[in-house]
Amino acid sequence: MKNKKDEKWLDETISRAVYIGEVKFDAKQWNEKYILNQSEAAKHSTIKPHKNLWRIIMESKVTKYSAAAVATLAITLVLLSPFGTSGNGGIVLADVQRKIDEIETMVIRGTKTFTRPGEDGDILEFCGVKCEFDLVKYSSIKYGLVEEGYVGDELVYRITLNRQKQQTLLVLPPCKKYGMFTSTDKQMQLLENLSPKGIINLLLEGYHRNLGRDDLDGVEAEVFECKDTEPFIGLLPKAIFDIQSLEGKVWIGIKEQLPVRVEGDLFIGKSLMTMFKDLNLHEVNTFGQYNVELDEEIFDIKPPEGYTEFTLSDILSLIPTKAKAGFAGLGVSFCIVPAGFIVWKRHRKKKTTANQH
Amino acid sequence: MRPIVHVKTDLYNRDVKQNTETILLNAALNGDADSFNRLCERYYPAMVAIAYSRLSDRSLAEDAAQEAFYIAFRDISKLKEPNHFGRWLTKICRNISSDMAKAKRRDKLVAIEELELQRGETTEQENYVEAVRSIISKLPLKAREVIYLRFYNKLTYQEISNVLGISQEAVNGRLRRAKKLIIKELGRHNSIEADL
Repeated sequence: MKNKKDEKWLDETISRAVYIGEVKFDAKQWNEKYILNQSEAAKHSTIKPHKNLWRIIMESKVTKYSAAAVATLAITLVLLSPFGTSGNGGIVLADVQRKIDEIETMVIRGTKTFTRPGEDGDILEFCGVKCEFDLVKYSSIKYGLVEEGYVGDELVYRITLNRQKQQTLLVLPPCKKYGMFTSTDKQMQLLENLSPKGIINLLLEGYHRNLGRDDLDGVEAEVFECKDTEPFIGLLPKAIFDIQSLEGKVWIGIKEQLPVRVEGDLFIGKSLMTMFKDLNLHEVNTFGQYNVELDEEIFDIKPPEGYTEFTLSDILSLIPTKAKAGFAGLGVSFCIVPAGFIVWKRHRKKKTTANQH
Repeated sequence: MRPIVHVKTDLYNRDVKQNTETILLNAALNGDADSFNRLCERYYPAMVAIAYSRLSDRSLAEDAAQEAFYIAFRDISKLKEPNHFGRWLTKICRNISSDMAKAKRRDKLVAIEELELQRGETTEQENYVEAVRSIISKLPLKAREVIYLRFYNKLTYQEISNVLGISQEAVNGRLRRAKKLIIKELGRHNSIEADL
């Protein structure tokens, strides 16, 4: 360039040459395309679809139903994990995450209720028993995860996901039956997601809303709401577990900087897990015991003495023909089979018959 | 005294801008979607420019920028140094654009043919603009990036430095070299035209 005039001319010429018109970010359009439209988002997602999960379940040594039940429980645990939270204001996610990093174990208590969709929202009954469970969960980053479901004082099911052995054990005390199988990659991934960082990463992919302060029996907390199912899309095939909507609320203690309560409402569409019936699941988890000493034996996957492994016929004999047809793809509705419920009911029926004699 | 006042104002504006960005980013890290949208608005033109320097197609460039935002939104918790959000986003956008460019390569001949058809009759100045555009498209990638950021986005050296993660001196050097190349190629272009 000989002089400033030439330089100015060059700059102007370059500016004209590179001008491609005004561009403006359209937040609404972007949200619709990439955040709300899950299929578009999934297209760009690096999470690989687990095409073989269905085959794995069908070929499992244990019945396909118990395997699927395990998968449901596992996914519910992920969905309602206490680690899933974010927010602003009084709670800073980074602080919560730092605190969570220090947590190795925890004990969770709560309830799990299955209801039918509709205005009444009545609790689902299966063979005269209400599907409303009291829960106790034990979680250890090192050993794995245990969920116990009670009706009254009676333990109905106990499911153990052993992280180290990559094995899952489902125990049904009412009928002294058990099922054990190698955990699929997917289930282990779900378990990995239960790690503090994993679940925070998972939930950060969705939108969150701060609902403000709340008082939980004297514990001041900030409430966050998550209505985005996107982070959970692809965790299981729709044919098995079709999460159509999710509303989760997390209470994070202001003082504790840790989750103190989680509530989740899921609407599950017709899928294998619901026996091709629409269904609501409401779960409440409360936390108070972090970093408690949990014995490795809690996560033991050795079947209890006197228990026998249940077979496909144990379950199929109790499922009406209509439901079996549903499995075959006819889409006939029936009702949900919570983990081990059928076998348990069979046991109860036998007891009743024996008493009558 | 006047220039000093200007310098102070610039520094003040820069600080305010940086602080605002930090606030937005922290809020976004805490799951605030509106803050993330505002960051997107801020970086959108620059990301389109980065993508355009690889793709030479505005529509694709906008797609690449939007996809970069989606990846950033998804992986924002992995951002280790919040102050480096701009350069992190740029890296994502570069990767996406490169992938798109590879896919687009097979259609390159068609695109050139379309460009030829669009030209038509032009004035002398427009000839120069067209020549410069052609030269820019053949510049090394790094030079193209900095040219678009400077002359399309009208970013300051400081802003380019933030986006590309290089020093202002390096920005200046890249721009100088790019312009020299353009002048050199323009000279060659003119001599060819003169010969014709």
